[in-house]
Amino acid sequence: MKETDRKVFSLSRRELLRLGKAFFLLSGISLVYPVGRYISWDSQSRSLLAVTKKDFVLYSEWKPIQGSRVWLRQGEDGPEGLLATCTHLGCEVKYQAGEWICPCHGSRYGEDGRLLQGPAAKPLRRLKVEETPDRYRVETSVHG
Amino acid sequence: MVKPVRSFTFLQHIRPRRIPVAALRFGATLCLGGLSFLAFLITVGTGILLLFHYEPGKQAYISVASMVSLAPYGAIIRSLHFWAAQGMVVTVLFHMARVVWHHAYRPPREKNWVIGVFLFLLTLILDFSGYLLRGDREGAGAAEIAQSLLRGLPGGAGLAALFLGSMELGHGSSLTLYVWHVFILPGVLLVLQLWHFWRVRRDGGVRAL
Repeated sequence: MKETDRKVFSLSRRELLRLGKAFFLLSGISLVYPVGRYISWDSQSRSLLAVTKKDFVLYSEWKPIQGSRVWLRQGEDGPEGLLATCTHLGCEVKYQAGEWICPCHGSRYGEDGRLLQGPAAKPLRRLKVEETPDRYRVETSVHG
Repeated sequence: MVKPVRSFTFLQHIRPRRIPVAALRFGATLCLGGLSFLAFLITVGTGILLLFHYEPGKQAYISVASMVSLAPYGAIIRSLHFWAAQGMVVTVLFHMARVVWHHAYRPPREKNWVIGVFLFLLTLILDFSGYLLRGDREGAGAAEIAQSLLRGLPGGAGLAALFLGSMELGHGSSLTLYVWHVFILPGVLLVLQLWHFWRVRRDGGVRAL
């Protein structure tokens, strides 16, 4: 009886080392997902841009918020927002005579951001604008 | 020429060919040096991860707070960094007490004691600089006192500029202190540690870990 007990729990030095290696390997693999999630977390992912109504008067024409690529205008059903970033490779598009034109590869978009000419394949991104009694708040999440 | 049997000769070389049985006794070391090095490795590993979301300077506290409360697993990574660092200070202190208790600082091992004193000082400075880099009110208060203490020394204003950089009132974090904390001091600490371990092994002690 004693003899079998010893058999069950006996490990050679080499087997123990192999178990140890397997343990470290498994712990390493199990860390890949949480560490990946942690690293790829984007601290700017839910940023808000806000302007006071005193500083920023809305017109029916697009007008940029200083120092950003966010443009606002007064639409028929309240304020509208647009991100002046080309959906092709991300250059800043210029607003000219009712059209958005990308200086990099010549993509063109209509006044409301709809695609007119490639190489871009998607319309310009529209942003949700929230109106409070004294300011406009624009959500500019990166993964929109 | 004798060809090496396996390619992992460096790893094999790290392991000594023979260790005195007496040195393997638990009571000989209480594992305190090894625990200090383990705490150092955890601090470095989690510290590298913190680099991804930490912003030195005025944004320090906001970046730490949002990392802890919003980033996935951010809280546990920062807690590990903090507690491993605190643990390292404690185990280093006990390690020194053990060395004194065993008279291990006496010749022929007195040089390793001197290296160890520098390791101890570096550990404390790293711990303190991390405390400032947190960028909260407590750290800012400590930064004020550190600046005043340094300026009390002859040539202290220069020292303060060298280590703490330009800190704004109410902010303990600066780019200068950050560079010392994440790069220079840990690098020096690592090199001195390897030298320390090499001497331990040469003197017939156990290898670290």
